[in-house]
Amino acid sequence: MQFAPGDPFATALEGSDVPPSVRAEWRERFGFDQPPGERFVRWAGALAQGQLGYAASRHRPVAEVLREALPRTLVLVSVALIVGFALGIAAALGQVRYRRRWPDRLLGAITLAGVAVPEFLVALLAMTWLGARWRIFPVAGLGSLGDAAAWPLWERAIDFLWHLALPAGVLALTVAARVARHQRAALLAVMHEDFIRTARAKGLREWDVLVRHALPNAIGPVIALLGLALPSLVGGAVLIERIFGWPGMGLTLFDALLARDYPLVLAAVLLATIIAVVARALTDAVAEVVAPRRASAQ
Amino acid sequence: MTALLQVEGLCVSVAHPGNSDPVSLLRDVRFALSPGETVGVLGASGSGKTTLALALMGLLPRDFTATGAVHFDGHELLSLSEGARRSLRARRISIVFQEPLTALNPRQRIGAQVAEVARAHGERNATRAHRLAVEMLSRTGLDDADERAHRFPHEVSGGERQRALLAMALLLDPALLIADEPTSALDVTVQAQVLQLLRAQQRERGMALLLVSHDLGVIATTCARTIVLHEGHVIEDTPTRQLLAAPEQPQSRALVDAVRPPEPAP
Repeated sequence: MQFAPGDPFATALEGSDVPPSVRAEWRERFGFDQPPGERFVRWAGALAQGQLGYAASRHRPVAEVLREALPRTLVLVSVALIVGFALGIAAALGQVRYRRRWPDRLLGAITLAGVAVPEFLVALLAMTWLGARWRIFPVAGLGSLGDAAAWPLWERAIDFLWHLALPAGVLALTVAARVARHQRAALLAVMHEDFIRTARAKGLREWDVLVRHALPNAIGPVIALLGLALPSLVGGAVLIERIFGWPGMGLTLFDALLARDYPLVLAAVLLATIIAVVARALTDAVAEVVAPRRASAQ
Repeated sequence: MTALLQVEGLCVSVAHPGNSDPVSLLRDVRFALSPGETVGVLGASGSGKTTLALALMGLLPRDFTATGAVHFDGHELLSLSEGARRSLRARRISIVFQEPLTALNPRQRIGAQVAEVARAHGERNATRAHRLAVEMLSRTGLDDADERAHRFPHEVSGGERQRALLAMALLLDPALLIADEPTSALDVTVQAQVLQLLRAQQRERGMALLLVSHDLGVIATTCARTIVLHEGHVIEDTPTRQLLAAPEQPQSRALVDAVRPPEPAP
């Protein structure tokens, strides 16, 4: 980013009549004439003291911008994760239950499409049809405009969920497709085990055999896989937020990049990295709780 | 006495994808079993013993086809709906499998796995199902069944696992128990204990027992009658005593000779 041409004073003031001499003076005053390495060391020093700096493009401190954007992204990503995970596992269970019959083939085709089709395309299609043509969901934003701020809390909550539906739904679909494909394969591997035969010999329904015996033995790797897939999910969120105008971390980062707002970009990337690492540790812990035998197996 | 189980002309074949001719695993198998009778099914590996056990349970893999007739307890098993067969499983006809470690769900406590049998057949009260399971575990000779019930399969011994499997099979007091090589994976001393337990439970309940084994020694101590399977055919169906004294078929003789002590060296 440092090597690309331009800086805050070139882009933010583009087309304005600020003379080059004034720009040069500002660059000097804010230290933009220093070499990048030196500026990074100064930024890291400030960071060590808890200073994230000032986001010039927003005319606000970086910390304030992030504090506002982060919860929105967390809501988006976690709703997408939970919904996508549940949908994916349900799809895989249905596929294995009706293996090699039409539900398996249909869901297999859908999940393959879900993995293969880029999410921005899904997002644009959902926006066009569900948003613009049929007007079921709003196409962008966090909530309704106008007097919406005066609505009672529960109405605002519903309004928020209504606006969340499309971006979270599109993200959830891509999660669901991946989860379903891996979960189906893991389930099929477990279905050959002897204890599945035992479960059937007990007179259990096939659905109970799947949910009570196959799934607990097949879900561990899928949770672990989710931990690995989280960074790409965060990456996907950048696109989705941009498309649906969801003012979270992704959109903040995107705008900051265009505006060459170095402190904001650095802080956003740093925060995303920390979240990815923490989330990774969390999924490992969840996998350990869901599949407790792993460590104590002989 | 009318037969509890009557197998007539049972044929099982499996179609291999890419191979036009289905492979026959059981051919025209016929035998009968009276209530409370103990019958051994003897045969070398690949003779179709396990296929027979699975066919009786209705647990053959989907690409297997079974034809013929299996009358059990007033039902024609092969033409029964899946739901009706399911309700017979573990309630009227049970099975104990060979390998007790892999036959148990590694992520479920033993007590829960036994209790699940009761719950699958209509017991809605979880506490009652659990109590029933613990009781049955102690009746199958699990020491300290209350505590063992809370353990995972890998936390108990092989013999204890086999006892847990037996507790599952016996929980609802079935009329027929199929034991598919129940002792092959166990130490010799544990083998003897499990066989003794099988015999005791069989006598106590007056249930019929179909003991599947490649080991005539195991069958001879337990079963009054023996059916010998060879390449999917029943080649002999005689009292065990007679089989031991004078096997008719050369294949049965080989299985009988296998358990005779060798001639002492000169």
